Amino acid sequence: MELWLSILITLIKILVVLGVFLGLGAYLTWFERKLAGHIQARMGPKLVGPFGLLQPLADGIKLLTKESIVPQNADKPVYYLAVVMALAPSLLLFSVIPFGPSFKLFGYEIKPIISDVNIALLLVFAFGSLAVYGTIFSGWASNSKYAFIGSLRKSAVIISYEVVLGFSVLGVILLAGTMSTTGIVQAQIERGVWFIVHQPVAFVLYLFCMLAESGRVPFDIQEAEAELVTGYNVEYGGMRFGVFPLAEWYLNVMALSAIAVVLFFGGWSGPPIFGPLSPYLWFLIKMFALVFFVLWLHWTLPRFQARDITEIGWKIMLPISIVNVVVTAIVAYIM
Amino acid sequence: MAMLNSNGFVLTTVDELLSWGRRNALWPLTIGLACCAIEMMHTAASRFDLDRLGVIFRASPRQADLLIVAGTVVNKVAPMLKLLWEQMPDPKWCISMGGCASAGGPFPTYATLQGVDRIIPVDVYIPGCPPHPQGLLYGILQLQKKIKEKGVKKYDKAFEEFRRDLERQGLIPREIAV
Amino acid sequence: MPWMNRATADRIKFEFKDVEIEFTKHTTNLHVKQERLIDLLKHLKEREGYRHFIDHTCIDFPEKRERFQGIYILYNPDTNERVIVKTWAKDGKLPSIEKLWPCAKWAEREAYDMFGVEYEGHENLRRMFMWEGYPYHPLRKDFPLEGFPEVELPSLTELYAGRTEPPSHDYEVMHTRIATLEDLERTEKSRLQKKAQLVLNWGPLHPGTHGTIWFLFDLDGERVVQSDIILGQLHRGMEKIAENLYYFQFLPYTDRMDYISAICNELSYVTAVEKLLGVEVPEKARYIRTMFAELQRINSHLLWLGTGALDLGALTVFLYAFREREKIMDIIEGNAGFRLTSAFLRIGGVHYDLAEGTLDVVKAFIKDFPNRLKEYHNLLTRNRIWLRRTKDIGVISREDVFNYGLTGPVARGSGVPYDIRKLEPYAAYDEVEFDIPVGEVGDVYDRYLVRMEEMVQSLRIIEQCVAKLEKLPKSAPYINKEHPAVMAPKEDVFMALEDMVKNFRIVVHGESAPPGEVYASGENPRGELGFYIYSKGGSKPYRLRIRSGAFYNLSIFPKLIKDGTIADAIALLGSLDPVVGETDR
Repeated sequence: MELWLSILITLIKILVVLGVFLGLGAYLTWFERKLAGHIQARMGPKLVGPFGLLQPLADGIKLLTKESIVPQNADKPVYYLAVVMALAPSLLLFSVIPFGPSFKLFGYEIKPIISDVNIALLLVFAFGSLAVYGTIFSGWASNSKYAFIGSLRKSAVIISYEVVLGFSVLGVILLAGTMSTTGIVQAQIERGVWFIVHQPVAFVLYLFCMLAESGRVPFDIQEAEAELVTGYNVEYGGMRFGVFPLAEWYLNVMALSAIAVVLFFGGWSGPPIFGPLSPYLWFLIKMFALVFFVLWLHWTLPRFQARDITEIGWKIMLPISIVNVVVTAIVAYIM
Repeated sequence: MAMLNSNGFVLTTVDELLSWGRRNALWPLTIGLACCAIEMMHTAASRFDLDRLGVIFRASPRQADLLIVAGTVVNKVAPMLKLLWEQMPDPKWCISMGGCASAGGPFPTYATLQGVDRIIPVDVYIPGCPPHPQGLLYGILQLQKKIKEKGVKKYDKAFEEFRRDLERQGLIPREIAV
Repeated sequence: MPWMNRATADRIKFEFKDVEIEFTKHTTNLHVKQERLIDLLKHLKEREGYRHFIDHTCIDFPEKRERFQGIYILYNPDTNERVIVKTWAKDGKLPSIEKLWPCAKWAEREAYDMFGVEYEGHENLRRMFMWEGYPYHPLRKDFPLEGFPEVELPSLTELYAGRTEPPSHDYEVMHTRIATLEDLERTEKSRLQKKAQLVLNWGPLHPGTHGTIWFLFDLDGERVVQSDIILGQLHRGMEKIAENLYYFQFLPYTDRMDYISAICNELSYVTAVEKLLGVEVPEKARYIRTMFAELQRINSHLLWLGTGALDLGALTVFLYAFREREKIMDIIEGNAGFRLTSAFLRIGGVHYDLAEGTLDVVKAFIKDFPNRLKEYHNLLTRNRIWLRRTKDIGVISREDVFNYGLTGPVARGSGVPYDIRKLEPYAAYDEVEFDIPVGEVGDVYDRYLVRMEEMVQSLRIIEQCVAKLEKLPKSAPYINKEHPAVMAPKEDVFMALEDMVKNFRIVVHGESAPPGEVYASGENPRGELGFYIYSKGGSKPYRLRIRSGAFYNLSIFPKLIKDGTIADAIALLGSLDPVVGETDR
C-alpha cells in the first residue's frame, strides 16, 4: 500500500513537472522573442493571438505537421536517437530539483522533489555530460559537414567546462557537507545566509559553465549561424528540429538556473509574503531572474570562437576554480 | 464522431487549425541574392519587424517553409537555388521578390535567369526594383490569405504529377504554342 | 589625379626605345609590344614607383588583326600619378603578370572568361564568372547581349495554373543555357585540389557570405589549409549592358552594382562621363552630390557594422544599425523618390532640387547620430570578446596593399592614406574639410576603427555641405542644362519648347561623345570604384570597364585566411566588406 502510494505520488510529481516545464519551455520561446524585440527596438510577436501569446502554439502546429525528411546518407537509428538524447537529459535534470519545503497532505509527508537522492549533484553532472551526446549524434548522423563541425565544437566546449563546473560546485558541497539538493537548501536556511555570499567566485564560474553547457551566447559556437548555417541541427526539420532548441536553449537553461538557485541563492527560502505558495513562487522568481539574465546576455554580446573558449576554460577558469576549492576547504577546516 | 458528421465539420476545423498554424509561423530561408536582400533585411529589422507576424528567418532549408527569392537569379546560381528549394520540406511556399526574380528585371542578358518561376513554382510575385519593405509585408500577408483560402497543398508533388500527365498526353508543346 | 608627367615619360622612352608614349586629353598611355610588356611593367613597378595596381582589362577590336588589346592601369603613390599601359595580344595570348601583382590573377581570369584571351604563366587559368564548360566569351563584340537562346524553359506558374487571359506574363519560352549541378561541381573541382581532411563549401547560398560568394575551404580540423573563392553568382553582364546603352541610360544600372551605396556609384559614373563629355556642374549640384554621397557612405558603413556584428554573433547591433539606416533612407527617399536604388544624380547635376525641409532633417540627423555612434562603441569597441575576435586577425601589410590593389578602408586600415576624395577631388570634396583616418596594424580591428571614424568624418562633411547649401539661393541651378548633352529638368521640359526638343533628341539619339578615353574614379565605401570608358565617338561607349574596389579587396582573402579558422574567416570577410553586386557586376 505504502509502495503503491509513493509510486502514484511520484508519477503525479513527474506529470506536474513535465507539464509545467515543457509548457514553460514553449512559452519561453515567446518570452525570448518578445524580450529580444524590446531590446532591439522592435515589438516581437504581436499579431498571433493577444500580445502574440498564441505564437508558440502556431509554431508547434506547423513544426509537428511538416514533411519528415531524413537525409539520404544519414545514419538513421542514430539520427533519431539524437533527438531523444538531446531532450532526455535536460528533462532528467528536473528530477533532482527541490521546489519547496516538504508538506503534509492527508497525513502523508510529500516532498516537492521527484527523487530526493543524496548524490543529486553527481546526477546533475552526469546528465550534463549526457546532453552532449545529443549534439554529437546529430552532427555525426546527419552526414553534413556543417553539422559535424558544429557538434565537434560543442563536445570540445562541454569537455572543458564539465571539469570547471565540477570544481566550482565542490566549494558549495564542502560548505553544506552534503550532495543532496534538499540538504544544501536546508543548510543555507539553517545558516540564514545564501552561499553566494561565501562562494561568489564559484557562482561566476558556474554561470559561465551554464552558458557553455546550454550553448548560449557568447558560447553558441555549435550553431554559429553566420559560420555553420545552423550548426549541428542543420539537417533536422519539423518538430525534430524544434526539440533541439527547446532542450538546449530553454529546458537546459531553466534546469541549470534552478540548480544555481539551489546552490547559491538559498532555494525556496524567502519571506512568506505570498501565503502558502510563497516558497514555490520564490523559487520560480529566482530561477527566472537567472534565465532573464542569460537571455539578456544572449542578445547583447558577440560570440567567442572555439579556440578561445577552450583556452579560457582550461587556462583561466580551471586554475581559479581549483584555488577556490582549496581556499574553501582550508577555511571550512579552520572554522 | 467525424464519421457521423455529414458536413465534414470536424475535418474542416482541423484543416483550418493546420492552416492557421502554418500561415502564422512562416519561417523564410535566410537567402539574399542581390539588392532586394537589403530591403528584406530592412523588413525584418526594427521599423517593419517581421517578427510581429511570427516570421523569423531560419538559415537551414530543412527548417524553412518559405523561400523569398530576393534578387537577381543568374544562370550560374539557378541550380543551387533549385537544390535549396528541393531541400525544403513540404508544405512550402515561394515569394518572388522584385522585378529580377519575377521576370529578369532590367537584365535581359546572357547571364540572367528571366524569371525564377522557370525553375521554382512561385506563389506570390512582388513587383518593384527593389520593392519597399511595405511591399514585402503586403506580399507575405497575401500569401497568408492564399494559404487561408486554398488550404495547404503539396505544391511540388502535385505539380510534378501534373507535368508528367501533360507530358504523357503530349500536351506540353501545344500548351506553349497557344 | 594627374597622369604620368613628361619627365618620367622621357626617362621611360630612353630606357625602352620601342615604347610609344601618347598624351591624350585625359590620360597618358604607353604602347608597348607584347614581348616587352613584362619588362616595362617591372621597370615601372620597381624603378619608377608605380607600385599600386589599379586595374587590368581588355578591349575587343574584331576588325584588327591582333584583335585584343590589353590595358593595365597603374598608380604611383609617391607622386600621385597614374599611367595606362597598352599592348596588343599576340595570337590571342598575353603574358601573365601575377608574379608582379598577385591580384592580377583575378583580373586575368576575368579577361580570359570574358574575351578568351589566354595568359601564359597563369597558375590556374579558369573562368572567373561563368562556369566551366560555358562555351562563349560574352564581352566579345560578336556575342549578343541577350546571349543565344538554347534551352526550352517554360514558366512553371503558367504550366501549373494554365494560360490566363490576359496572360499573367509575356515571355520567351527559349532561354539561354543554365548551369547544371554537374557544371558547378566541375567548376569547384577545377579550383581546388583537396590536400587536407575535408573541403567545406561555404556558399554560394549561405547566410554568412554577404550574398552569393562561394568559398572553398580545405580544412584540417578547423584550420584552413587552403582556400579559393568562386565568383559570378551574381554576374549579370553590367559591362556588356553598358556597351549597348546610351550614357544616361546606364546610370540606373550603377545603382544596382554596389546596391548598398547607390549614390556613391552614381557619383563615380557621372564624374567619368562628365569628364568625357566636358560637362561643367553647377555649384549647388556639387554640394548636393557631396552631401548625399556622404549620407550614403554612413548608410553603407552602418550596414557593414550591422552585418559584421551579426556575423560575430552580436545580433542587437545589427538592429540598432538598421534603425539609423531607416532615417537616412527616409532622407534619400524624400529627395530621390526611392530608398535603395535611387538614381538621384544626372549627368550635369542632380535630378531634383532639394526637397522642402531636407536640410532641417539632415541637421537633426547630424545632431542625433553621434549619440548613436557612442552606443555602438559602447557595445563593441572595448568589448573583450569583440577584441578577441578581431585583434591580430587578417593582418594586411603595406606591401600587400599595393600588390593586391587594395583601396578604400581596407587600404587605409593598413596605414596607406589612399583616398580618392583627397587625391583627385571630385564633386565638392576639394572645398570641404575632412581628415583621412588610417590604421596602424592593418588587422580586422583597425579596419573596424577606420570605418567607425569615417562615419564621424562624413558627418563633418555633411555639416559643411548643409551650411553651404543654406547660403545658396533657392533659385540657384542644380543642373547644367545649357550643355548640349545634358537633359533639362522635367519642369523646364513642360514649359519650354527648346528644352523638350533637346530632351527628345537625347532620349532618342543619346549624347554624342567625342572619341577618346577616360578613367575616373570615386571613393566608394568599398574602395575605389573606377570607370574606364573607351569611346569611338557616338552615343554609346565602345568599352566601359568597371574597376571594382570590392573585387580587388576580396582577392587578398585566400592569402589572409591561410592557417586561420572558419571563425576567423567570417570576421575577416566582414572587415573586407565585399558586395557581390560589385565584385561580379
